[in-house]
Amino acid sequence: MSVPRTVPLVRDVLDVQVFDREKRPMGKVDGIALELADGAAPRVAYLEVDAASAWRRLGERFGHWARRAQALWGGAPFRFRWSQVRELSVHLEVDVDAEETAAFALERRIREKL
Amino acid sequence: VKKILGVALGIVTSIGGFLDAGSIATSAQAGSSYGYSLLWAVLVGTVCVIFLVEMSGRFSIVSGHTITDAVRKRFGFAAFIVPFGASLLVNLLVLASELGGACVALQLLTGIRFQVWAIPVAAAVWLLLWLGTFDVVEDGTALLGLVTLCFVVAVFLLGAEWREIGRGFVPSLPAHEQPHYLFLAVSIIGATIAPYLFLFYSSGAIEDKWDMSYLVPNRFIALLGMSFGSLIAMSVIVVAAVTLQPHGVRVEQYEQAALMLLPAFGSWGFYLFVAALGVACLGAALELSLATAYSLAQAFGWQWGENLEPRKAARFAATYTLCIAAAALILLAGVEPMKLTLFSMALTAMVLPLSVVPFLVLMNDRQFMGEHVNGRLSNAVVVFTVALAALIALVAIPLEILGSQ
Repeated sequence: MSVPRTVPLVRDVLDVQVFDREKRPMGKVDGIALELADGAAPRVAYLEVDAASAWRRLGERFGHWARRAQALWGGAPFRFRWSQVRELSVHLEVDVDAEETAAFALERRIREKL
Repeated sequence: VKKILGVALGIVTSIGGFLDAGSIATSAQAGSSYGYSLLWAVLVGTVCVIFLVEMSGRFSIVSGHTITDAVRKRFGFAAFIVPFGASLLVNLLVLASELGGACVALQLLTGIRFQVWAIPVAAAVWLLLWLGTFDVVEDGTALLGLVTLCFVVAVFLLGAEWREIGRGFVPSLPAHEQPHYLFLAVSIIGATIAPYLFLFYSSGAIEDKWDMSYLVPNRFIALLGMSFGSLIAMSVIVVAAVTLQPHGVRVEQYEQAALMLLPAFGSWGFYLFVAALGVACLGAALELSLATAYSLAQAFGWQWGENLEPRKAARFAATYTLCIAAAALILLAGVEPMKLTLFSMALTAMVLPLSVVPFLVLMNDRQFMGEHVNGRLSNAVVVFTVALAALIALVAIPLEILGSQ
């Protein structure tokens, strides 16, 4: 039986580099949301790669502006569950294809113009 | 043998790539205005940059992170983004000054105003980045940059007074124009300890996949490359002091600086200066564009790498494209390149703590560095130099602005 591991979310997960299953950089862990339910221990609802969430940490107004800018290229938050995390070391690897996620919206938009 | 060749190439590229618009402009003005008396500023900056470059290589080798990536992780987005933004803006000004230096080199050669060259030079820099690889950008331009050794040769041909040169390494205040002297001192330190240099070096270590076996070679590259490189910057001061100051020529524009090699090389001296200025600025513009794109991509976790096709790192390629375009626009607005260079160097010195302090915290964090954390000497040298430069800049920049009105 494996020993339970404690992960300090803010120190070891927030702002960590996220890679997809092909080791492509997707972005950073810009936000972490907890699920709170009566009588149950809090659990991680999702982690997200979302520049607007990062800017919101500086202030609501910055988050709002970033969200409006994101809308220009069809960007949206990319959220994933802890169960999709394949590896957590100095970076975090998620079991998805980056090309098919919202995290690559701007990358795809610029690539189309090249 | 391959590693020894790699180290030798690293040292040569550090020497060839050392000089840029900032070093040429600040050193030429220092030598022509105050003789040898500002040599100490190059020395102080060089000692600090040796430590910083060695630290940035060691950091990437040991932690596997680039500096920007790790600073965001360690301090969080909110604490990271404002100083990061300020450093990016200063980088943009420095990039404009490097493009400006290359444009002035073409102006000196053709007589056509530098603004006309802004778009062709920006396009050339962009094309080299778009089509080239990391090795082409780093090694190619730095090897061509060895032409800047002409300043060292000139020192020997001109028969400089070594005892007087030695006195220049002892800090002293002149009897006249002390505010401008201090402004030049911080500009020289800013030109020598340009943050883009160690951010670029750290990204290069990751891009070239340096492992733990590079810890010792990294030390040699930092020590020898930066020491010999700074000899060129010192030589510019000496040559300007010997050839321009006695004739009362105070360098305010690159056109005046272009005269400094004539006594040593005759009419060839003019072409050597133009080649040195053009190649040094072109190389620095390439490195700065890359360093800025690296930083932004690493801050937001995008795909990055000069060895990747632009289509495979589209946001990274778009970033350096936009930076080069913005820098060209600054030049097209008609800002005088020499003035832009001096101010951007002084601003660099002023914002140095924003880049260096978080980096020092990382270098002392065992979570990143394990047993390879900084020693007391490294911390002391860097803290002392950066604090000194920032304090002088805070005083000297307002005085310089007031004095020039």
